[in-house]
Amino acid sequence: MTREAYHKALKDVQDEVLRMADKVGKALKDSMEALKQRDLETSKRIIREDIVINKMRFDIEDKCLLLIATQQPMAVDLRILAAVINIITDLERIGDHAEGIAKINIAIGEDSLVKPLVDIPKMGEKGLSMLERCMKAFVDRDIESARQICNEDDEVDALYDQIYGELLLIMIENPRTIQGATYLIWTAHNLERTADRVTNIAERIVFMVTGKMEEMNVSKY
Amino acid sequence: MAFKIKEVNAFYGGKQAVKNVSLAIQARSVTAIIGPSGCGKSTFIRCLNRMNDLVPMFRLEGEILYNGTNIYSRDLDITEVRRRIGMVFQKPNPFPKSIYENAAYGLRIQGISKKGTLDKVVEESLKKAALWEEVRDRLNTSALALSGGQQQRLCIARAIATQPEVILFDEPCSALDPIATAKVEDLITALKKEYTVIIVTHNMQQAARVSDVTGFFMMGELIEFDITKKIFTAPSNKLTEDYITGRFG
Repeated sequence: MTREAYHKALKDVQDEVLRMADKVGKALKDSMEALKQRDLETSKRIIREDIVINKMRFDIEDKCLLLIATQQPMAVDLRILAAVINIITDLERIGDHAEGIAKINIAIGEDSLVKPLVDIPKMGEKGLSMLERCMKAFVDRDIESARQICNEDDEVDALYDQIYGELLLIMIENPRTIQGATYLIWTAHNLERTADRVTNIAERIVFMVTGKMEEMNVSKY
Repeated sequence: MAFKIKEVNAFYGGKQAVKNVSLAIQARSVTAIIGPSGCGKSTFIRCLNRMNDLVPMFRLEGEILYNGTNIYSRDLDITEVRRRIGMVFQKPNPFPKSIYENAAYGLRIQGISKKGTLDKVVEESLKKAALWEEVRDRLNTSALALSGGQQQRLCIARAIATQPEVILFDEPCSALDPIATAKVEDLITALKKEYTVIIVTHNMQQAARVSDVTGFFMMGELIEFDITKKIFTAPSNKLTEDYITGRFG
């Protein structure tokens, strides 16, 4: 009674999650690069292409529901599908954070940045690295790595604190920077939330493997 | 605990069908036994009311205690064991008699013939088997005219009529359509309020739906025995997981 077609469909769903994660990771990377380069065209493209990410999420969700309805998955298979439905929700939201950064870049427009970008790109790189390693842990069913990624959220929170403090000082010193500084705080906030979403995905990976839901790192924010 | 099963081995001649199985079954619960064909699950359940005694060359080692009494002890009345531990089979097997006589059969062979008593038990049993409303106006028609699902519920009524404490179901829905299956499953859930139910099923979803506890058998061995929720969401044993996810079997 080996169920080859069913197991292939189950694998296809997981492959699609990886393709979606690639797309989301690229949107995040491009949104940060566009902000650094003040490249408004790339930001516009990211906003346009967010629809594709949203559609991927619904397509994968449909496939999961169809498998649940028609194949009665059990045990690890059921946990995979339950995890996938949650993971794609977080991936889609990370896509929204990338889109948010793109929108901020467009809102800043031709104005110059109120401070050079140092820690914000660090937050972006850290978030992206967490996402990439998290998806590798998903493939490898590597719960140790998933737990480690959750711990790294503290580093992102610390960077956010630092950026927030610096921008607050800049605003106090020169109220004319308030708008520009607020844009950068929003950017940092999008990145901080991105890392939180990655920890959610890591928690689902642990659940997928062990069957136990653990809250592994409660974000400061 | 209704049953305490200790190191049971069952043989058909030289062939061992059940290997060193120990487990405990709680009263008023539904226990499902699952496993691939030939894993020993039907042999196992048939040990619980000595149904295998009828098979030539059958031999059992170990102990099966029901409410503390070994049901294989020599001084026990085997008919009384089977009255207390009833059984419903894979294929509905009503007798070629009326619906009424099928439900009353167990009492008649116990020598009860008083009409008032029989009427009362027939009605109660058919009600408990969720069949009364469908057959109350035609109790004297042949049981063979009923649909397969109705016949199976009549067999359940017949088993209930002798006031058993345990009902063993051996693949009770494998010959039924989905609607009749759903009715029997609802019935099993209702029956556990009064009876201890043990069900052998090929249908894993059925085990997941109706049972509180599930045992997974493979090649005569009990591989895993745990609460159903755990077995179907996060089993402890890799073999169980591979079987219920269709990776072998």
